[in-house]
Amino acid sequence: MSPRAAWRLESLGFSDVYEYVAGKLDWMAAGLPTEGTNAQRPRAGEVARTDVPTSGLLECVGDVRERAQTAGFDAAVVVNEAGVVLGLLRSRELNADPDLPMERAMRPGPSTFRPFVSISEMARYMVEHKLESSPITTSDGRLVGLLLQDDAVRVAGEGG
Amino acid sequence: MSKQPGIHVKCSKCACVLEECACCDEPDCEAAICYRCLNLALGQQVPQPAPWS
Repeated sequence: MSPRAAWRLESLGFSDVYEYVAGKLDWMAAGLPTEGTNAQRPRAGEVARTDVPTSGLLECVGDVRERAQTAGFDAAVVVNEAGVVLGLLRSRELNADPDLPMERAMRPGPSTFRPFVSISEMARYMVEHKLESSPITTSDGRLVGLLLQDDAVRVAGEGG
Repeated sequence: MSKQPGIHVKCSKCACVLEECACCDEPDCEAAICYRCLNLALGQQVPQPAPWS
């Protein structure tokens, strides 16, 4: 929280108060717990598939496609050694020349979304923009999981 | 990498000119939205007061 809010809480008698310099949005983007009405609603980070296949830049499309199919995905995320998202392959890119390195086949720098975004908003935007899947990342770009449009729409329809 | 140079779309919220939609990364998106408007709409960014001029 901000320094002013921290000081105010201390003045109200709270003793275990910390200043979180990066701010509330960064806190939520890291998937840390929150309280309040919105905290009860499903969010992108909870619905995203954390078992999405990942690969490095130099792997070949064919190898990753096989791995993705075995895992039941038609997408894969390209990450670096720190888990930061570098690219995305949806079904179209996964069907590219199997000998092509991921670096050349992927969509570089895809749009990513934070884990705290409400699932109903994500579902709305994914349908409107015909997104099969969207990477969910922390503020510093680390992969949390891949949100599938079908999952987002289903959970939103259940009252998300 | 299917970008077609020279094709621009406008943000459906603020009408600024974009090279591609910030949501789907497509240069011909019919519901194109800019990075700022998308982040505000999804609550990924908090609206800031206008700077002093």
